[in-house]
Order: sequence, then C-alpha cells, then structure tokens
Amino acid sequence: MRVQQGCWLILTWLLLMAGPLFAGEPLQVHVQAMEGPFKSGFVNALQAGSSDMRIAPSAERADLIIALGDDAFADSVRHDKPVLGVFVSRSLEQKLRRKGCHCAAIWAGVALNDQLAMLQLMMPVAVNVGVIIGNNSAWSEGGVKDYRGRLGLKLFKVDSHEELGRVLREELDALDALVLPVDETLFGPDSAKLVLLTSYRLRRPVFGPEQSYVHAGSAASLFASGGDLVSETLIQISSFIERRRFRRSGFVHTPSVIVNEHVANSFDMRFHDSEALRSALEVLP
Amino acid sequence: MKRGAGIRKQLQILGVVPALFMLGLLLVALTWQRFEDADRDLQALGSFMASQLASSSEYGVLAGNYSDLRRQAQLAMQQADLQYVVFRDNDGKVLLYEGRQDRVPGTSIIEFHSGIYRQPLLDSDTMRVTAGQNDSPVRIGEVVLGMSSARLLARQKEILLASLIPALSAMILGLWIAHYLARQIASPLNYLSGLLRTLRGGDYHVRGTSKLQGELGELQSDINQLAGSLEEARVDQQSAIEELQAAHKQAQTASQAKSDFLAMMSHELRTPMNGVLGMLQLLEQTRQSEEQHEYTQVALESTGHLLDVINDILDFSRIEAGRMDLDPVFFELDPLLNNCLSTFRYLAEKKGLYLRLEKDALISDKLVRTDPTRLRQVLNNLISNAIKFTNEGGITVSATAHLVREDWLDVKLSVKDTGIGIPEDKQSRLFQAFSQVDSSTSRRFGGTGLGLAIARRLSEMLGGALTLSSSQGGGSTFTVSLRLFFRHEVGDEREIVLIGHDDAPRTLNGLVLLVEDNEVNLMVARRILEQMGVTVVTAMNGKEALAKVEQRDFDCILMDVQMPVMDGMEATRLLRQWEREQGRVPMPVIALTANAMEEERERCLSAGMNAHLAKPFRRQQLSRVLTPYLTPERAQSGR
Repeated sequence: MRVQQGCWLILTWLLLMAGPLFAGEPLQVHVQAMEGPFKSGFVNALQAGSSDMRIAPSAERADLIIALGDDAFADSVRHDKPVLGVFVSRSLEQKLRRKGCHCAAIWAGVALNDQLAMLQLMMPVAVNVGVIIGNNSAWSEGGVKDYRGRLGLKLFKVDSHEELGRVLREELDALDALVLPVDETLFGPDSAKLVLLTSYRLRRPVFGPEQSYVHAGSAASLFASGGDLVSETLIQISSFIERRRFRRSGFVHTPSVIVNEHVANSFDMRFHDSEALRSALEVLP
Repeated sequence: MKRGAGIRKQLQILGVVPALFMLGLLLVALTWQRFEDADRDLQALGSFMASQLASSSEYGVLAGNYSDLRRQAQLAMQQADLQYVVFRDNDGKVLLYEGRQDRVPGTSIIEFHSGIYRQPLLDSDTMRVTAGQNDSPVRIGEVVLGMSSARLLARQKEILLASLIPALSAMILGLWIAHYLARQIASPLNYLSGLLRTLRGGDYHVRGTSKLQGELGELQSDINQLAGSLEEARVDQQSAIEELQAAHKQAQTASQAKSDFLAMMSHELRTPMNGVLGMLQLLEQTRQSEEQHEYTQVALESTGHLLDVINDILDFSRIEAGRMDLDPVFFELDPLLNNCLSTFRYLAEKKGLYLRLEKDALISDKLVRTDPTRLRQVLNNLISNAIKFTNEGGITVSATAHLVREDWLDVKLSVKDTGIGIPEDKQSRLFQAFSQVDSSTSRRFGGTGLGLAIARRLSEMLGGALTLSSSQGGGSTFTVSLRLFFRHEVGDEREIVLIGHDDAPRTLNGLVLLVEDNEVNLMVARRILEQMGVTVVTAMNGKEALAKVEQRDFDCILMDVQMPVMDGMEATRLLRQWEREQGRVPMPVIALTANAMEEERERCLSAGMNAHLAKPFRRQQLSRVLTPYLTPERAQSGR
C-alpha cells in the first residue's frame, strides 16, 4: 500500500514539474535494446506517456539513452551520454557508476522490504525466513542485514547451484519460508525446479523472485512488470528534463504482484489469488 | 436298403472332425491366451505410463506448474493410444486436462489411475532421505490416463489373423490328408465292393487283381476264393439243373406218352367195345329164347363192368395228371340225388336190398353251385360200392345241411350200408389207388380198387372231404362233406342245369347223316338209329360227308372224329365255312368218338360241333343226345 501511495505522489509531482518542459525543445531519447516486441512496446508506451520527449533514431542524436537490460546498459555507456538503465542488475549499475558513467538505473527485481511485506501478508505466522543471495543478486548482503522488520531473516550466500541445493537441503528445515531475489545466474530457469521441488518436498513455501518463478511454482511474488518499468522510466525522464540529472537508482516503486493459487491453496495461505493480495498490499501503511 | 454316408465320407469325417475339433479348441485357447496377453500388455503399459507420469509430475503438482504438467502430458501423449491425460489434486480438482480431438470411433477408453506422491527429499550425494527415515510419500494428487482400446483391438485382430491363417492352412492340409487317406482306404473297398457286385450279378469268372496289402489283400483273396467256389457251385448247379430239366422233360414226355397211351388205349378199347355193346343191344332187341336172353344180359352186364373199369382208369389218370377240370354250375341237389338212387334202384332190388333216400328239408328249393357231374360220379361210386358189398338189409342215402351264413350251406351226403363193414386197421388203405381191403375182397367182389380213390380225390377237388365210419360186420357209412354256395331264386337260367331221369328211348324222326369209317360201328349205329325211327344216310369219311351235305340237308350229322381221308374235325370246320359262305342254317353236328377225354370234347365243340357222345354208347345215351334235334316238333321247325 505504501508503494502504491508513493507512486501516486511521484506521478503528481511529475505533472507539476512537467510545465517548464513544455516551454523548451523536447528531449531526444534513444532506447537501446535488443530489437523485439518488448522494445517496441516499451517505446510506444514511453511516447504515449510523455509529450516532452522524442524518440531519437540513434544514440548520437539523443539527449538521453535508455538501455533495456544489462547488455544494452553496458553498451550504452560508451556513447558518453546520460544513460538510464532499465531492469538492469544492481551490481552492473554500481560497477559502471564506479567507472564514472553518467547514468542511473531501475534495478531488476523489487525491494527486499516489499517482498517481505507481501510474505507477511500471505503467511502472517511465519517467523523464520531464509534469504539466499548470490554475487549478482538484486539484493545485497548489507541490505538484508539492514532489515529491521518483524521477520527473522537468515541470509544464505551461495555461489553455485550445487551449493544452492546443499543449502536448501540443510537449512530449509529450520525456516518457515524462503524469499529469493532476482538473480539471473542463481535463480534462472535451470535452478527453478531444484529450488522449488526441494522446498516443497520439505513443505517450505518459496516467495519471489519474479513472475516467471511464480509460474514455475513459487507461491507469490512482487515483480516489475513492463508497465511498472515504463512508469518508473517516465519518472526518471521527467526528473532528467527538469534537473538535467537522474533520480537515485532503485527498484520500481509500484511493483505488480502475482500469486500461484495452487501453491497458496496447498499451503493454506491467507490469500489465494493475485487480486486479493494486491488489494491487501494497497492498504498497507 | 437305406444307404448312409459312404465309407470314404465316413473316413473323411473320422479324420477331419476330431482334428478340426482339436484345432478349434487349440485355436480358441491360444487366441484367448494371446488376447489375455495383449490385454495384460496394455494394462501394464497403461499402468507403467501412469506411474511414470505420476512420478514425473510430482514437481508440477506440488508447484502448480501447469507448463510442466502440460509438458509431461504432451510427452505422454506421444504414445498414440493415449487419448487424454488428467491431473487432479488431492481434492479431486482437475489441474490439467490434455486430450486429443480425433478419437477413433467405435473404440472404448481404458482409464489408468496412478497416485502422485510427494517424495521425501534425497541427498543427491548419498542418495539418502535427508528429512528423516519415517517421512513416507504423501499423496498429493493423481494422474488419469485415458488409453484407447483401438490398439488392443488392432492387436487382437492381428492375433486373430495370425491364428486363423495357420489354422486355415492346417485345416486345408488336414482336409487334404483326410481326403487322401480316405481315398487310399476307400478305393480298395470300392474296388472290392464292385467285385462283389459283379459276383452278385452272376459273373463268377471275375477275379480281384488289385495289388492290395494286409487285411484288404486277404479280403480280396477270400473274395477270389469265394468266386471260385461259386463258379464251381454254379457249374454243379447247372449240371444238376440240366439233369433235372432232362428228368422233368423225360417225365413230361413219359406223362405225355402215358396220356397218349391212355387216350389211344381208350380209343382202341372203346371202338371194339362200341361194336360189342352195340351188337349186344341189337341182339337184345331180337327174338331170343330165355336162355339166350339170359346170356345176352350177362354179356351186356359184363360189357358195362368193363366200360366202368376203363372209365375209372381214365378218370384216375386224368386226376393224377391234373387234367381233371371242374365245371361248376347252379343246380338243384334234390333231383340229382333222386336220379342217382333211380340209377341203382334196379340193381339194389335185384339183390333184395332196400335203397332209401332221407333228405333234410333245408336242401329243397335251393340252387347249389358245384360240378354236378363229378358230384354224381362220387355218389354213384359210393352207392355202387354199398350195393356191391351189402348182401342183406339195404343202403340209406341221407342228405343233411345247415346254413353257415345266409348264402353258404354245409352239406353232408352220407351213404350208409348194412354190409360187411371194414376193419379199422384197414380203413386207411381204403382210399389208396388200386387198393382193396384184401385180395380176397377183390376176388370176391371184383373191381379195380380205384373207385374210392377217385371219389375222395373228386370230393377234395369239389372243396370237401370224404370220410368213412365203419366197423367190421357193422356196416359202413361214407360221408361227403361239402360247403356250397347257394341261392334261393332262379336268377340266370342259363347257368342252371336241370337234372332229370334218363328217359326211355324215344321215337325220333328225321334224316341223319352217319359218318363212320368202322364198318361194325357204322352198322351198329345205323341199326340203332333205324330202330329209333330215324332215316340214316352213311358216309365213310369227312370228305364224303361234305359231298352229301352239299347235295341235301340233314336234320343231324353224327360225325366220327378219327377217320381216313378227312377227319371229323376238319369236315366240321369246312362244313361251317361252307354254311357261312352259302348263308345256310347250320346243321347240328354230334361228335361220335371213341376218345372219351375231356379235351376231345372241347376240341369237338371248338371245331363247331354241337354235342359229343363217347363210344361205346348206350341206346338211351344216343337217344338223349339226338332228342333235341330229331323230335318231330324240332325236326319240323328246324327245316
């Protein structure tokens, strides 16, 4: 609910700040991404969402480069122009920033607190929650340790699938649930069955890290949908037009939610469908 | 004879039916077994697939991963017989249904269910359950496979085809073998059967020459021996038959010779007898002294006895030869009895005996049907014997009758005498031919001994019996028992014979042509006829008679049969032909022949003669036979 309110406040602020932009030249934006339906959809949504910008056909003629994904993001920084990375890994963004790029990013995944808030809604009695992170995870070890919520988090840092399996077998017994971050290396399609089957054989639900994982069997997850990313991108563009600099990098503020109804039923969770969970999240403080 | 299936067919049936039955049983058993195997295979396949799918779909059901479940289902659906896959959770809720649209019509679906279990966690390194040894699998759902029976049906068809083709081949082979074996067995039997049929047909020369082995060979050998024996027997039989035929022919020849001899003897005896008897009858009419008259009467009586003997011999011969024919007609029994008694009354009275007739009233006014001539002959014989063997007392002829039915009458004619009687031990010989009670009787009373034999034979021919009741010194009673058909009214007068007394010679008128080659007989007949008042014209043979007939009419012709130039038969035939050609009224022709055989009488009648009189004849007999033609009224109306 807090996320939802934040989104509305940002949108209101963007509308108020949009006035001065109308007076000048529209911002030339180039979207750097692998050609495909996602890119064209994203571009169309951007154009529809903002009249202060124009889509530039190339990076050289653009005032701003929006890079979709890690590869495009890493490639775009060589143009020496402001680059906004969308759905990029947090580690890559920090690495490029350390190299001095004029860039910001909307990280892939959602914030740990948001995911844990959703978990608390689904499993109000859960106490011990395990968090497994790897080197490329969206969540950092420090971020986990900085959690100050009701739940007792237990962090497991793993480097490989083999270690992941061992950790799961050894540690899940002591946990009430497991929360996973977005990590293409560690929690890709190859490891989903290992993680999920191991967890469910031990009767421990898994939350996160994103939509496809829920389809694969995760109980529920907040995730950054295409719309969420466009909205977050428009906020960054608006900020850039107004102040000629980006807002701080971060996760999307208003993520979407999805529930695996079968798993939610089988674990007898509080909410069994996505709509009910979304409604409950909206009213969170 | 009712003929069933041939041995060949029976052998074929014997060979084929059990084999086919066994084959059928085997086929059914094997096919059924293979059907069971196919069904078991399908069950095993379905169960295996279901269990495999259940184990592989644990993750999909646990995680609600429909993509994974669909992938699993689609993998399973690569099995062509699988029609659908259903995943259900533990509450029965359908998680996923994956099915085909193109279901084979006419096939049923066999479902296979397998539970989906959440397995305990295994340590991939040690392959041990890590969560605890007692963490048994928990059912979390089930997978249902819908397997089409098309595969099973196709398999069953294949099995059936695979079974039927060898079975059909075996059946054809079996039929061929049975046919071959049956032919091998039946052909020799048919051959031997044909051989026997040929033998049965009488061809005993035929022999079996087929190269047969074993029992059939022995059978053929036996048949050949049988044929040989039959051939020998036939030769013997043929020889015996030929001998018999020769004997029979010889007997027939002898019999014919005997008959011819008897006829010849009869003719040859009667011809002179006719002269003797005729002359004695003429002599009797002449003026004689008492002594001469007595001699004449004795001679006449002796001649009569001789004639009786000759007649008896001829009758017996005819009976023995089976040539004695009966001529049954309706007649009144009453006059016949009276006539018989009248015939012998003179003789009885002469011996001082009484001769009485006692009649049942039932006999009167009835026409009985039998041969009166033969019945009279029997009675005459019995009465004659009775008179002959009775010296005192007399003879009583009694006739009794009673109705058997409304048209049949049992008649008993008894001749009872008070004579010497017949000893009981000699009665059985009495009816044998040429037999008398003893030789002294023959010497004492005379006779040939044929009378009673003839009487008994004639009685039997008339459908009755002749019995004797007698005791020595107590007289004898001979009884003729007859069952006679009778009627009251006189229906057809043509059949009725009027039996009357022999009339005394009547005076006759007319012109008679006497045809006779024997001069003595010619003279006898001429004199008798002239004494009767008849005008006589004579001829010596048939040709001469015909010539005289053409010159003038005669009231009657007395025609001898055996004559030179032209015999009486030929002359009569020519006369009748001439009369037809000329349109003239036929002249009566009476045969006057020494042949007394019945056949002769028939020959005469068939030649066109009107009557027949056997020689030697008595005056009364001649008068009686001529009366119809020479009485004044007839003579006048006839011409």
